Amino acid sequence: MKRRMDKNTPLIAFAGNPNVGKSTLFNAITGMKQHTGNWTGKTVETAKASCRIGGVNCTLVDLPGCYSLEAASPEEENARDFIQSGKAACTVVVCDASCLPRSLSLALQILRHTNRVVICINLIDEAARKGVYPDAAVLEKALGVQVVTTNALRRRGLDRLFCAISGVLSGTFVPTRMPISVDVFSQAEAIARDAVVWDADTVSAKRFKLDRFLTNRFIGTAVMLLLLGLVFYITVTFANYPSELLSRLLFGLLEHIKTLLVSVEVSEGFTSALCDGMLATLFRVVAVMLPPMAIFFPLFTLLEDLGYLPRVAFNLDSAFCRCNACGKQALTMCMGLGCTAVGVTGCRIIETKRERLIAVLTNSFMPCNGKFPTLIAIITTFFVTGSMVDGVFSAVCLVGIMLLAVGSTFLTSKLLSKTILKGDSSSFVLELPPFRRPRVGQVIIRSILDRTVYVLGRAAMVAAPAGLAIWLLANIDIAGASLLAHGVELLNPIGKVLGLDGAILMAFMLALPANELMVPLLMMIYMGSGAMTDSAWQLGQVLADNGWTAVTAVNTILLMLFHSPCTTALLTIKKETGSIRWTAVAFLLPSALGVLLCLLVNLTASLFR
Amino acid sequence: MLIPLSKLLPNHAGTITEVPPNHPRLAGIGFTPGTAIVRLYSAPSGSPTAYLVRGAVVALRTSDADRILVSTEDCP
Repeated sequence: MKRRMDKNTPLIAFAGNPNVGKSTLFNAITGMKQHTGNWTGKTVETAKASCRIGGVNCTLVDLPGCYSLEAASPEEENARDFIQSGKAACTVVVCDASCLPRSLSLALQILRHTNRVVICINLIDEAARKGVYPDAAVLEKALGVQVVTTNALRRRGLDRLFCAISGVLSGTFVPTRMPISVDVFSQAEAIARDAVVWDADTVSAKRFKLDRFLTNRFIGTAVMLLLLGLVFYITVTFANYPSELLSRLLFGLLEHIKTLLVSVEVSEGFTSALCDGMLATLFRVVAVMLPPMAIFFPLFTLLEDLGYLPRVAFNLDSAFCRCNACGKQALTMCMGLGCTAVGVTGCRIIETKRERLIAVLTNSFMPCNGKFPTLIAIITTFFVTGSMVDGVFSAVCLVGIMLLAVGSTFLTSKLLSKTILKGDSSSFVLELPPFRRPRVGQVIIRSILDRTVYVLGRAAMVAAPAGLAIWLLANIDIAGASLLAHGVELLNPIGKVLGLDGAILMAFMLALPANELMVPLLMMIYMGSGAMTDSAWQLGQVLADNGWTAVTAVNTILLMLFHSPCTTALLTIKKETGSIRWTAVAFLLPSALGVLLCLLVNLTASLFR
Repeated sequence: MLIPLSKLLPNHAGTITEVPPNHPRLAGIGFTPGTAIVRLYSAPSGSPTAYLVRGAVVALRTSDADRILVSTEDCP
């Protein structure tokens, strides 16, 4: 049932420190399935939803978490501005029961501006496990407003919360104005001391055992590589079968569409343009991209929900520090393994603009789900010897490629920080939240839905038009050959210099909208056909027939790793940086690196010829 | 005695006395004069280090911990 979000409905704001379960609470109340994660800074946009509380239609607003009203990042500024604007009819300050002094500092700051406030002490179960029991009655007396305890995950205490909010909205609860000192931190600490039955600041060896384990030099690194390798392996292995299935399904559908169009006597040209051009590309992109994305991101989100990811940033920060970048870049790099555009959006967790830009500009160095099929195809078809070591060889190659990608990210980050993005490492403050059991079902379902929508959207907006354009290039003939063939002819000299050929360069240019189109495009150009087909099993033969050498394969792999981000990623970069200039840099930087490496390899090889 | 936070021994506690000014993030997350702080564990390379402050675990780089002063009874 759709509820109206009127301009006149009272606004209820949800404020609080990062990572106190604000979004979980928000979701529990509104039934929205917002993306939450056990990672401070997850909510980056303000979410709105409507809800009926105490018989009144209200609009609920989930503000990004802020540690204090003295904002240190754009997201916190949004939160602060909203609170200070007085737009909210009631502000719910969500606090962490195990972390009351800090949560209450913010509550006190907010109470300076308004006392139409309800204090909601969340994560009450976690606190109980640590032996911490906040007394709501004592807190109510000290703060002068209503205090309720909740466990948002198990939806406990929500009715008390609604009651309290209604009290504020209807005016039946009259808050007492309490004095708030200038030093909110000391006042918060004093209030918390009185209100909490047991002190949480006891360092028990057991509490941080897992953390010490995970940040150990050897075990920590091993766990990190293992987990990442596992996510990666599961994605690559389990995506194959669904991809094939989807492919058969969709292309079967395509045949039916073609038959239908022919039967109603639509022109052959139009049918071909629509089916072999537009729809084939769209279906191909969906079949190739959907399964890996639907596996990789849910797995990654599970790790995020668990709370493991901040530990990764913690472990790797010093390596990034040496490149004048930030440890959180490790996480954006991991996201970039799934999809560069997602990695770029994820760079919001990096607080300093300079370090954020470095992470954005180097994100495309990490091979995304669209590049892997191509890389694997070239390695397995070209470097195949038919012997038993093939599997091992492929694995070694992939590891080598990953090392190259990571190494170049570090080097380029360092280079950028010494040239166009000069600056020293900023202060780095990272909260390590406690490990929480991930809500496996909800995470997986939500993530799969998100990814499906994303892939379909991208296929429709980017791949379909690209498919049509490619079909036109391949089928419009001028002076005896298609536009495509002319283009290849033109690019041949440049190709040769780079140790490649015109066809490969053309394929790269046309694959700008979607990296996964690389192999089909290459096949189409080499075989001179008018449409991309799924004859990847012929790849080895076709490559050999067209004069591929080891150098060609190596350089194609290099260029695959280091070329411009795809159009979706470029658009995302433009949106995140708000600047055409930086988007241009994002386009040129990896391309320049790729060209340079190809030249080097070709030069070196020619010395041995 | 006053020492920089980076010199606090693992699992030892102290009270923050001085924090670099103009740092809204540090204050907001709980690093203010008079706050109790306990050093927990460090990353493999030594930086950053995790501290228990106001009930939460927060990591700081050594370069930042150098600039925060704490008073402690334990000798480094």
